[in-house]
Amino acid sequence: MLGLLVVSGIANGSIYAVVALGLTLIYRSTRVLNFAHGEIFTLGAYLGYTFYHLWKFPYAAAVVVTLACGLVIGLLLERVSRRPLAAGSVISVVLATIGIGSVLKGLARLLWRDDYLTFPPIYGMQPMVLGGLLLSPQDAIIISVSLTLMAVFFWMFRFTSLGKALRASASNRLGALLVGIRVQRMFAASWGLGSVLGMMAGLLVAPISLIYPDMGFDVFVKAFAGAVLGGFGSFPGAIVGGLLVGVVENLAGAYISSVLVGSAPFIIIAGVLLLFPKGLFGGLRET
Amino acid sequence: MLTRALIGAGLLALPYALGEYWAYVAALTCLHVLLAVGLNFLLGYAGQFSFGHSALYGFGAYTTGLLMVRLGVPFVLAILAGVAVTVLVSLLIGIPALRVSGIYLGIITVGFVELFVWGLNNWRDLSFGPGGFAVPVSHLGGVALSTSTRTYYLILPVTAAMIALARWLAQSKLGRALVAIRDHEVAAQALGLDVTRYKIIAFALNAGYAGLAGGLYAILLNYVSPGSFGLFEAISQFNRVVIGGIGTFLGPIIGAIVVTVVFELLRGATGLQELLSGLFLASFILFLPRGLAGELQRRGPLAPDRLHRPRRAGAAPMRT
Repeated sequence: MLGLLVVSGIANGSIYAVVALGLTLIYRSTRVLNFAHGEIFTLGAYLGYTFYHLWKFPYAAAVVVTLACGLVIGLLLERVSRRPLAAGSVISVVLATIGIGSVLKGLARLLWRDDYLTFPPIYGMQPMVLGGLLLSPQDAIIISVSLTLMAVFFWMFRFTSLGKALRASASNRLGALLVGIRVQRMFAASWGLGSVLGMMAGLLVAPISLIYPDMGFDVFVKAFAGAVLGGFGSFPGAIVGGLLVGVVENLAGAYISSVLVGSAPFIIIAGVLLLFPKGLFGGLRET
Repeated sequence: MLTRALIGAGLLALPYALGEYWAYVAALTCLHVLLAVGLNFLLGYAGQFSFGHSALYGFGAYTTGLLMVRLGVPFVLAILAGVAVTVLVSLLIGIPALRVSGIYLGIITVGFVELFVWGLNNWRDLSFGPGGFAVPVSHLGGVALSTSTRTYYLILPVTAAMIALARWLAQSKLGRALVAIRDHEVAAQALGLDVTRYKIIAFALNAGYAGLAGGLYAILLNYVSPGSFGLFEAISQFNRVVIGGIGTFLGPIIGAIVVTVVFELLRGATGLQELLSGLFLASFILFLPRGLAGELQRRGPLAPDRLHRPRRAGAAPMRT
């Protein structure tokens, strides 16, 4: 029982971790909390459904096209919200992302009707046994894809020139400009990549959950709770925090009270921010 | 003076000219005006980003409604108690929450709103759960407030008085202090302003107005349920303030009127409401950051606010 709960908690948690990673990437480079990120996640599920189920693309092609859409939408989002408001206050940018999120949600409701859609199963239903633990194929795939994604992300961030330019622009904008990095372009890239991560999470969840216009908010809040728990602005923090939120909500829901599944993230957010605001990994030092 | 008299006469005659339904819309608009004016203290003048206003609105509505249903308290007392409870709750939330700044305050208050709605849905013994409950018809001096028209004649003068109070507060030392904190917190502190205290006062003012609006909501609709006080309500309130003009005096009032009427016309079309409200919010922030009031001031018909001219992009810079 405990093992099962932990494993499915890790599966949920790795979704939160991927979403939190995208949020953190955007926050680190441009200091904006993107309130439309939950809707990007929703859109990932809807676009995947449309390409794969409605338009009968092969699954791999549907994934690629959806992620490409994610990149374009992320770049657009940065272009219409962050960039024109960069000189003003952060409140303006955040309100603009709230507005755009509301637009995306309304569009989803109008385009795909205000209803619950089901994505056809892809992963198969037969549970497998791994080291004495019962593991459903979808959990296994979610966990392994997320871990791979995170590994690729870290490698990219650490070692490629794009990753180095991204880090440089985030940590010292003026310095990065001086050595010839196109900082604006890096900011846009982080919004694009962050949205790709959000869409990916939506794609991963779609086959095991219902698709509906309000699905993004819940995941957004849990991902944010994870990021805060890990120390907001830290990449390892986002991942560990996201995984922990998934496990904690499962365990609290099973052993304490089922109503805690919904409210655990808020308790975590409030508790962490009030008691140890730096989180587990220290977060981002504001300069 | 003549304009004011004309507006006053028009508002008094409105139920006779347009009928019961529009009297209801007008009364609802008054509540939204109260909410927007209260939120403007926190968001517009003090420059603090919080989502708490929708839950505070709910605290007012639930305290008033529950006191009337469960204990048979007369509605005037129930509303006053609602305001008191809401202000008290805002202090409990505000004192720890305002120690953190910027975006974190927003997030803690998102948590507060969600916990509040979750509590209403689950603590059925107190709150009647997700279905909400009916509030009995109130009586004022022998007159039953059973129609929206009658309730409107109660809500209208209360709203006018609260607007006058807000105007006085905004022009007093308090208003100037809040704007100083918004525009440069460190400088305000160096001038000897107790920054945290003023932020808490702004939070409490937001709560007082929201609590009053909530109490009036309970007696106007005679029905209260958790769904009306979630994040959608919080975002709608942002909309009204932003579209009207953050940090201007008349802006929130104009915004509340325009947005309420437009939403009433789109009633039932959730997708379209979300699409348009988001589009309005984002476009005003991007293209008309001073809102309708700021635009009217720029073009002449409205006199500029003497003190509270927002800086570029509408609100306070949080990066210092």
